[in-house]
Amino acid sequence: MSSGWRDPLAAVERAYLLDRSTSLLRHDVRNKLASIRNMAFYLSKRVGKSALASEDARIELFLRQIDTEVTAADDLFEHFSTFSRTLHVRIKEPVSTGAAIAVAVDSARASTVGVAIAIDAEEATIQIDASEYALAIRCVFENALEAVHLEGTVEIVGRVTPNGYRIEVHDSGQGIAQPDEAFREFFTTKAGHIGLGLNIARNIAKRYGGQLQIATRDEGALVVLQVSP
Amino acid sequence: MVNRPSGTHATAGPGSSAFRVLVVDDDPKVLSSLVAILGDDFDVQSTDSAKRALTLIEIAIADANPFHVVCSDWQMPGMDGLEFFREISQQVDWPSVSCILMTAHPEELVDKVEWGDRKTLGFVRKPFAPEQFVARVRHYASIAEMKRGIRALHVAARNVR
Repeated sequence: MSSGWRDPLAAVERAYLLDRSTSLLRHDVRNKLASIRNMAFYLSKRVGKSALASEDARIELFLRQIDTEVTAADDLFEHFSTFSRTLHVRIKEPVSTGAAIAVAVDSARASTVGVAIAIDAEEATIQIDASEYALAIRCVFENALEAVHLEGTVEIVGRVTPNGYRIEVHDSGQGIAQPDEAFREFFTTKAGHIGLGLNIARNIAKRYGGQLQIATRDEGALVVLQVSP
Repeated sequence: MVNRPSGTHATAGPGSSAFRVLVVDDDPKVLSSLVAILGDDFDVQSTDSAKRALTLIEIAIADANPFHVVCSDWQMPGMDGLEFFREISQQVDWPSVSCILMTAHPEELVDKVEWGDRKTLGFVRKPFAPEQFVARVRHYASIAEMKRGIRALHVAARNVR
C-alpha cells in the first residue's frame, strides 16, 4: 500500500530487528562463553599444579588468558547489546489509535491488489510510543495481507477496552496452522521472510502491558493485538 | 516409589561435602562443565530438563536426602527455569532449598522478575566467574541448611507445648 519513497517505520523496525537478533545471539554466545570459562577453571585446577604445568609455564598462563579473553569477549558483546538497545528512544505520548492504524496500513509493504480491506476502528487516545505501536499494527496487518494471497478480505476492528485498546485483524486466508510456532523467532513458512513480524508485535504488546493472541477460525485467521499502556 | 528419570547424572567428587546440589541446563556442554566445577565441593546431580529435575527432587526427598541448592538455566524448552522455581516454591511441605537462576538475560530483565516466595532465589549471569559461583553455591547451601534447622526447632517447640 506504501506509495512514497520513505517508510515512516523503517527506523524503529531496524532497531527492533537489531535488538532481537542481538538478544538471541547474546543468549547463545554467553552459553558458549560460560562453558569455556568453566572448563578452563576445571583444567586449571587439575593441571595447574601438575608436573606438566611446572615444566611449561605457558600452560598456566594460557589457562589464565582463556579466562580473561572470555571476560573481554563478553564485555565487547555487552557494549554492542547496550548500543543496539539504545537505537530507538521510546517516547510515551498521546497517540490517536486511528492515526496509528492509518500509518500502519498506508506503509504496509505487502501488496493489497485484489484484497478488500475494511477498517472499523473506534477513535481513542492512548499513551504509547507512536512508532512502536504503528509497527506492531503493521506487522499484524502485513501478516494478514500475505495470508490472503492477493485475493480475499482483511478486516481491522479497533475497540476501546476497560484498560486499553484492542485491535482485531481478521483475514480470509488459510489460517495459521501452527499458532505456537508463529511466535518462534526466525520461524516462517513464507519465502523471502525472516519470521519476526508477529514476534515483534507480541513483544511490543507485552511492553505495553498487553498481549498478542492468534486464533484460526472457520475462514482464515484472527490476530488480536491488545495494549494496556 | 519415584523412578529416577533418564537423562540424569550423579557426580560426587573426591572432596564432595554433605551439601547436595542439583544442576539443570538444556545445553549439554554447560551442564557438564558445571558438574565439573562443582563436583569437587558438592554432591552433584544433573539433568537437562526442569520436568526431570522435579522428579529428582521428589526422589531425593523420599530418600530423606534432599538437595540444598538447585541451579537452573532460565531459558529452556518446555518448562523454563523461572516456572520451575515457582513450582518448587509452591511445595510448602518440601524441605528448604535455595534456588539459583542462571541467565544470559540482561540485568534489567532480571530486575523485573518478582519473587515473593519463601524459597531463597539468587541470580547469576552467564558467563560467571567459576570460583565465585562455587562460593555462592556454598553460601546458598548454608542458608538452606540453616532454614531447615530453624524449621526443625519450630516443630520441636510445638511438640513440647
